[in-house]
Amino acid sequence: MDVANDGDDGFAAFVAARWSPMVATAYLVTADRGVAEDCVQDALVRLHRRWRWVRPDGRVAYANRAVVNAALSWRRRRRLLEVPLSPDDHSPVLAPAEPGGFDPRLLAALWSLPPRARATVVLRFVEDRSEAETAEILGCSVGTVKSAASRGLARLREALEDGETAAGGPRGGRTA
Amino acid sequence: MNQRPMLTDDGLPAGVAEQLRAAARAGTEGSAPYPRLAVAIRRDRRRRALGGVAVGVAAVLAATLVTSAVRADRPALPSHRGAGPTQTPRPAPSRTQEPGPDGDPYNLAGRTAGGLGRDAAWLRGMRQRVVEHGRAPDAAHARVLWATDQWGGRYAVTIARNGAAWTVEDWVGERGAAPSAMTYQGGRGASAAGGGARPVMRAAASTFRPPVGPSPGGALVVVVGDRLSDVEVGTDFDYTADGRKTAAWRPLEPEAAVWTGLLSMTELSASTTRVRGADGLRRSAGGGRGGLVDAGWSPGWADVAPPGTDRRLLTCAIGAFDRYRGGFPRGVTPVLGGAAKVAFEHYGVAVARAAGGGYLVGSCPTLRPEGGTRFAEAPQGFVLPAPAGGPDDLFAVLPSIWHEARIGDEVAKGMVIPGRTHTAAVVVAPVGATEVEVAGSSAPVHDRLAVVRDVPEEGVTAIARDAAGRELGRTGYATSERNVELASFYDAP
Repeated sequence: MDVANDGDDGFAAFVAARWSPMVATAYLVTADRGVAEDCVQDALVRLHRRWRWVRPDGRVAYANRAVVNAALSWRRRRRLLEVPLSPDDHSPVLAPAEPGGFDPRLLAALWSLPPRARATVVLRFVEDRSEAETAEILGCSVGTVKSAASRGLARLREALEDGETAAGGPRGGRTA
Repeated sequence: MNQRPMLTDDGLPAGVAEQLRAAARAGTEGSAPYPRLAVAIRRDRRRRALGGVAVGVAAVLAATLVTSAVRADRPALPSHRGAGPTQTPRPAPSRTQEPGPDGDPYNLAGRTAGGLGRDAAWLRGMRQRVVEHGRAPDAAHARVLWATDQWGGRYAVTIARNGAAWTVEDWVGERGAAPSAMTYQGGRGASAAGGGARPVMRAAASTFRPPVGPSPGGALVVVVGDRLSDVEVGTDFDYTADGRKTAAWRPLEPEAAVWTGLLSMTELSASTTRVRGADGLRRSAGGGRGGLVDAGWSPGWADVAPPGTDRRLLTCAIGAFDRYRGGFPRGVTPVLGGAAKVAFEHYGVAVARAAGGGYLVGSCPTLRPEGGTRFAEAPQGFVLPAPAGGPDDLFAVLPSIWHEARIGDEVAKGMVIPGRTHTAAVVVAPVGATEVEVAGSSAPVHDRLAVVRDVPEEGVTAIARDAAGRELGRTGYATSERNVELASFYDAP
């Protein structure tokens, strides 16, 4: 790829290593694969611009912050592009679970959280970052992370409990 | 009984983080940065070279163009790990979705399949119920695709449109329930946000079960999709000696815009559905009972495990083969059970021979800190071809990848995990092996099991040696059960 051959030594390898995990994070935050890819692309373009000036050991953190910020602001950016939106356009689309995969109720519960709380849960628990790291990426205090994480966990627990009730109770219809 | 994960990580219910990671992987599978990223970077360079006043306007226009290009350039999903059946479109399907407007799920005026299809008053009320649920602006934008009374319940599947978004929803109630008493059970979406194009709907199976308690019934399977053919439900899974997965397939019946069928409760626990899409390729439509299904313990396992084997670990391994379908399929013969411990890592392994001759392995890696109050486990299933010399020759290497694993501070305090991601190879060695080498690191074999830590996540070669240092065999990582199913049953993910 020409980026690697154009004096951008190391950038291509960075992209190869980080693209998938960053898209996955953005997907969980935005609930939309296309948007997630756009967010990561934007972040990498920004990073590429500053590649020589960002310390090598700070590049991952820089990219992570850029991705999460892009993911948190994608709705506004989308409206700027005049993509027609209706309230349900971006409501959770429940991907059918492959056997052994995941419970779609969890995604629905995650995506029902406000965007910043959603990002907090993803960074704190799915990516297993510390409260301090999460706060740094989100640009907020550790206390804010704690409270947002607590609310998010409560929602996920409710979703699980609802799921168990539905599965064990009468007529437990389930979308597979 | 299979141990359900009980770990909480700072209050997160066990398994939730991994499920969300799995969801993210599934939702972004095949995502690739190029060529779009290179295009965006070139465009960014040009924009910066131009600089100045025009940038603000150009950014919006360029972003629009990039977005359009991204949509067009997005690569097709790759074949699933390159091991599937042919990707060539199949000949004309033999059993197609009902032709005409009633068979089109997006035709909101189409008729309703099922026993309640002629109950106009109830259907009218149910469409209004969908509106009240917030999925459609009015009843004209909702359709009851299927509704019926069965056993003690009333079941329905609806579709609704709100702008570009379409939602398919499942509903249940008591037998004879009024629309207002129907309860929403779940849904999935389709979208035509691309602008005028037909909405993209992934076919999915809903399963409806009778009320809890003794019931002569079973489960209703209802598949909704767009322009489907050859919709089948598979049960009675088996594995052949060359490592393929087989099932007994039977067709679901098309009626209006859905496909329906009945399963016994036993079948439901280990079943799947597959469909052929308009492109001629077979894909999974999900199915099964949903949630974890406990594996049964049989005394035969005690006979094939060394005395003193941790029964909890072994039980976990038995269920690990396919946690959502009750572990090993029916009719398997236990071959080997055992457990190994390295530092805070405990590994349970169960090997069984399928009726069809294939060898099946359940692996239960567990992090259990000394004196800790919590533990984590990551059950997985693997499939192996029958070894030429029988079970004594079985040589399997099972990857156990701990992605950023830790259990709160309990493990973090006592366990070093280089780079936060740690892979161990759990090895089932052939009889006579005393040592195995994986990616250059060696470990002794005890009761046919060995654990080699800190190995690469993929591409390893394992070598088994006897006490004299003679090489007994070489192999790589075993194939996961899930990949075997994908390759055996479907043409595309």
